[in-house]
Amino acid sequence: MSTILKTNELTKRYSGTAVVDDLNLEIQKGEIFGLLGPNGAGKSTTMNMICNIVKPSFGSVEFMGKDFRKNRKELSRHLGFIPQDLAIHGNLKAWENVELFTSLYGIRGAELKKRIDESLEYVGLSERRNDYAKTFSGGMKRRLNIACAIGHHPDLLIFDEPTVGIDPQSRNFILEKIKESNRNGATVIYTSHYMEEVEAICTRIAIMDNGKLIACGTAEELKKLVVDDISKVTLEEVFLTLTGKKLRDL
Amino acid sequence: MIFYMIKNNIKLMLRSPLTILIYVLGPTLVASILISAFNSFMKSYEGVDKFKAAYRLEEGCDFEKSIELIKENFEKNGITLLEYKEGDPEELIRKNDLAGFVDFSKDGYTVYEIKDSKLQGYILEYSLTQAFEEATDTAYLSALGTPLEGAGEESAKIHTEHPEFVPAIDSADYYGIIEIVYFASFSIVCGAAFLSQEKKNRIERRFMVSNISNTKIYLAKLLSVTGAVSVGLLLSVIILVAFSGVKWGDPVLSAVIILMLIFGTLAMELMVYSLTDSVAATVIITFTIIWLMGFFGGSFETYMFSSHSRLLKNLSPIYYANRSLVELSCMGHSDYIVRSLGISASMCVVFTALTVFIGKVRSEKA
Amino acid sequence: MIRIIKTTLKLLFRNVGFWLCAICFPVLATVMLNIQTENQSYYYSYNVDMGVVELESKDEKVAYFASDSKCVVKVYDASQSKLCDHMLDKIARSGLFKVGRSKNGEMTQADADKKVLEDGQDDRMGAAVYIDRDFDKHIKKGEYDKALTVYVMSEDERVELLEEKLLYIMQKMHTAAAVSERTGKTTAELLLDMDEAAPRKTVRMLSGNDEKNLTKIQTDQKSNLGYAYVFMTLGYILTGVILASTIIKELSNDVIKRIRLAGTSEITYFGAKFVSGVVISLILSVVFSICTLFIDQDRIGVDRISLCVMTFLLGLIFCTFTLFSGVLVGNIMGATVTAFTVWCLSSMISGLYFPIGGTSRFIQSLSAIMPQKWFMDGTVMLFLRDKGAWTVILCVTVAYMVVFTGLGSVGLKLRNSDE
Repeated sequence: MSTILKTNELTKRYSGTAVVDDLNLEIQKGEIFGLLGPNGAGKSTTMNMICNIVKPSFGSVEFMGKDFRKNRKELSRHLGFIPQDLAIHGNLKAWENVELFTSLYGIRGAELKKRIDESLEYVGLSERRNDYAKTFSGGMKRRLNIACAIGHHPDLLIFDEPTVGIDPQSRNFILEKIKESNRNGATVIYTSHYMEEVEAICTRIAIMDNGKLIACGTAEELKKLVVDDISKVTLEEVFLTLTGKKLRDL
Repeated sequence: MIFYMIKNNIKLMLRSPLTILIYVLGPTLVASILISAFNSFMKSYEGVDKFKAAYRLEEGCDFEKSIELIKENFEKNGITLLEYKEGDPEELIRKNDLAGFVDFSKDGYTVYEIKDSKLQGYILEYSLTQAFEEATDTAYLSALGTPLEGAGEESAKIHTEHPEFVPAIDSADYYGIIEIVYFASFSIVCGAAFLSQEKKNRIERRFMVSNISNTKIYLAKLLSVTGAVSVGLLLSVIILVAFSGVKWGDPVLSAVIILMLIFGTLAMELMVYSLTDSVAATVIITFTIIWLMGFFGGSFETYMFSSHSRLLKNLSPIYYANRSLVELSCMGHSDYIVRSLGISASMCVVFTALTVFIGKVRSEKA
Repeated sequence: MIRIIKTTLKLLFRNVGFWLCAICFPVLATVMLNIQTENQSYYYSYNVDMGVVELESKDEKVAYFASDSKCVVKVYDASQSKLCDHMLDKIARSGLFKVGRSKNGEMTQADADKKVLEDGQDDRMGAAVYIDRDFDKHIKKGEYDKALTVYVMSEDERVELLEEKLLYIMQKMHTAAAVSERTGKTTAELLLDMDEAAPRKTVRMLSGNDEKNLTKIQTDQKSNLGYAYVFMTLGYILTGVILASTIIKELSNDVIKRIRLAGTSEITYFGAKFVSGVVISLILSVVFSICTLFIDQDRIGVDRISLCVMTFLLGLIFCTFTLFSGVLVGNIMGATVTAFTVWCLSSMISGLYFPIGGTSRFIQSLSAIMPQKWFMDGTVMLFLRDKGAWTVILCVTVAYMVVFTGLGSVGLKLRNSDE
């Protein structure tokens, strides 16, 4: 498998404090890559730097073999970001939200209409396309949030805690759709606090703490770091062992 | 690419009751109040029709001898004098729908005028003053053996000039136009709802991920707000033209002047927003600026009547727009059109450049 | 309750927007108080029998003289003679014209021609008249066309009457001048005799208003105070919105549930917020009063303490209104828009920007609902040293507070019963 995304000594400092410190990640094309870490570990900052929302203090991001910042215009349409906070307009209808955010990638006309229909179909909101987003339940809003990020058929999808605060059915639906996207060729980076989700869908997992990468590998490899008999330990226990049980106050 | 942003932003704005309230009802209501307030003040004199007035004669007063002659002469000039021997003047005027009341007594005469028929009252007073003045002057000079010169002759003339002046405009035309301009200058409020939603939902992250340039985002905001405000104001103009009889000058030129003003002032407001990053602060700051511009530029007190210094007026972009539109309405042309368009265009260019620059600095620092 | 008041005030004082409003608006209001206008706006419109109004300079505008619909005549008097005084007085007291005169012995015909072109653009009048320096000489010789020039500045038919009247008076003066040599009296004395021979005229305008009792300076002070009230009420409205936002946030993030669970009643809670509103009004009024220390007492017209108390009471009304309307609306944006709209309309209708005496009966009735209208009336009463002023102001304040707190409570109860 080839590398789709690579971070080289990626660092971000705020007032002298490194919130992401010398992070080197390699994400292979076609995998679902999980990123775990306690509060304040630097996961969201890492996602923001990858997505071009925040400028790194040092280091670089290589995407599809090219420097991302220098080739943003060309590369950004291969990336889709699903933020943790819902980034949709409540006063626009479902299809209008998808239209707005898909059109940002230069898609228009008949092709845009087709993509809108596909995206809404994909997240199971076709029947509610003409309803205002503010009338949706939490789970439906999350699904719409996803639809707004996939319309341009990105090669890399970044999910930042997409299942926070929703019912189990909606959560299950989203996880199934992520797996489906992956089967269709998309690479996924997935961050979450729900260990069972990460273990269920991720090919490889990285654990961050205090801005640094402390472990990376498959779930089995991570468990082996802690115990020999991996059947006796859960991923959560591994996580707590590696990061400690102390409370993290930001 | 920005076509869809503009389209959806306009939808967001037009779906908000705020837009309708402020840009359709706002100018209509404010203009209606001001039109009513300044109606009689700004009304051009159009002459008066025939009217009736009352009089009362004190017994034994000198006027008894001349009253019939006065009545006859007044009748020829459209004033009918009716005698009422008793009653309070104000009550008589109101009850009998009269324009005034004259109380002739031994000491002289008292003219009662009423605010509702003040023009007729003035004519009544003037006619009486003139009649008595001519009669007494002629009598006095005749007693001295010299007739009043020029009496009955038309040879003598006075020197008259007809300089150029801006024709009087009535309150309907003035405020019907000016309030559209004022609300057009304050277009950020139209965008306030969707701007605060964008901020609240952190939608700018999606823009950053898509790598759409700050300039395009800015242009989308500028064009969409201009579009939504224009729609609202157009409805307001239609209502005012239909119900208050507001007369505009050349519609195309007027539309261009207002459109350019929206661009110019909105560019300034978006720059303030890019500096403060707060919708509330932007609205407050820009409201204060626009209010002051309007205050000096003739949005409340007419620019012709106000005694603010010329410098303060000249500093207000609204003054030029007001002036050019009002003069287009009453004269059909204006020397202020080019200045108005120039200032609005300059504001648009300068503040756009500043906003783009601020956006760039911010994104470099982030 | 005290704890809630303290917490609310802490939240307010930590808000930069609050301090901006608390300082900027009183400063702006003070600036408005201090603005000097070149001419006195509405004073002239209410005086029926004024004679010639002497303008302070040739640049002074006469547009507002037309507020009582008389034909306005602006006179540039280079002659400054008694005959000219007589003539202009006759015109002014004829009943149809309002005459404003600028005396300038050095003004020439060319100067007048130029000035009149400016007037045509920037002022409004029926006609302008230039009186030649040698007016008396021309009258004696019967050279009426050289004695003065009438500039027709409008399409008003009454300008023709003005021309006729001017000609008549000049002819009369010419005749009187010719006769005076024989009689041994001066022309002026003869003209005076003729005037006295005419019947004495008195004019009464019915349905006038109290404003004619204000002096020229008081009228301007009142106008400036109106604008000052505009800015102060806006400041109260915006700080009221900030106060209302504390309740809205506490309602939306359920802080209010904690407060209620602790046994605090709704009355105590909203009472505490109301007291916070009183404190806000006090802060703004005090800042305003401090700012007024930097301007002359003469500019204000009423003493500073009275002004402080009046603005405080006005603030109380608007703060309370904004507080309760904000809670009823339920969101900050809606609260801001509501408060703003009410402020805009009420300021306009209540006569803060312009006198409403000339508006329709409907608007005049509507203005009676606006608190600012009563405060302006109270201000006029203070100018006239009417002892009833404070009774009016206090009664109005109490009445509005009762209405707003009553409506607010009912609205809140309805809102809570819906939830």
